[in-house]
Amino acid sequence: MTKFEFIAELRARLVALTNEEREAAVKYYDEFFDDAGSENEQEVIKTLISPQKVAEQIIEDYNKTEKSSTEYIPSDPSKPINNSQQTQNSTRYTANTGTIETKKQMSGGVKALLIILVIIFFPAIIGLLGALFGILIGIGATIFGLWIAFASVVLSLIVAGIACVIGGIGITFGDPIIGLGCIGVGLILGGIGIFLLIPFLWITTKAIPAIFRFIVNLISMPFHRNTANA
Amino acid sequence: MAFPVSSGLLDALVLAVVAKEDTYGYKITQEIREAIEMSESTLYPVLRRLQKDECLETYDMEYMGRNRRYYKVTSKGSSQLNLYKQEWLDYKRKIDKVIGGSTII
Repeated sequence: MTKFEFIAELRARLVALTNEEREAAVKYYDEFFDDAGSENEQEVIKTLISPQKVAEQIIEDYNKTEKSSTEYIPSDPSKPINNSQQTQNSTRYTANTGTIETKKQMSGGVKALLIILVIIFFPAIIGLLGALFGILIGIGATIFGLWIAFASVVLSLIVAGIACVIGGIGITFGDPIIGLGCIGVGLILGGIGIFLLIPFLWITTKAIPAIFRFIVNLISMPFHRNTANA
Repeated sequence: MAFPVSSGLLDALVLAVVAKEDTYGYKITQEIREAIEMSESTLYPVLRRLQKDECLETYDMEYMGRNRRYYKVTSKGSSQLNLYKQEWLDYKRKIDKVIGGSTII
């Protein structure tokens, strides 16, 4: 290999860079050869190893610093210059984060095995899903029952409180002491009812929807897993 | 060599060589290779990065009928070099303290 061939191949391998970047690198190595002297040409080529190696280092650095570039320029020496090769593990360079993400795709064999396993264990899966569904329904019904009970307690406390107060006002005209007592009891009951209204509303608006969302997510998880990862 | 060269150390060496006098790629490579083992293709990406970081700038000068690209340390580069020098002394002192054993304390 001569200096001329070395430079020509280097230029070809840097084709993915901008004109300016490529010519700067080529100029650098052109000068490098000149400064080393033509008598040392072969030695320089030997220490530089190969145009491929040199280009690889330049591109690697370029990918690290060039945040504006949107595409990763591969520097893998085993790849040919025309980097259109598609592999199963596709590597892509993301411009804003500067990281290289690798996506692994499920191979055909693994997929077939999964399908066979699903068919073999289908009855068992149905049974398990049924049991799980039953448990979830049970939990839901329990929560609903407790909620109804809580609601009745709160409602009856408030209604009883109001009734006592109104009744008490009526009685006060006949027997002030019993009447005032009734009003007092009514206010206490109503107060407790209103006080319990706060946690009740919180449970109704926050906790129960959250629990139901969790259950729905749990049920729909097996169906969505494939689409979410695809 | 037993000790790997970090990119920070490489930057420091390049800045130090260019700070002595404006010089060109081949010469920088040779000078650094006196201190550390480094492939001849290692330097260009370093020079490029230092240029991008505005620590170095270049100008072309004619030499024997052709252009030669000279590198020059910018003010940012020289303050960076001072930082590296301080850190190096600090690092060297600490390592010596451990490695040098009883002779240096």
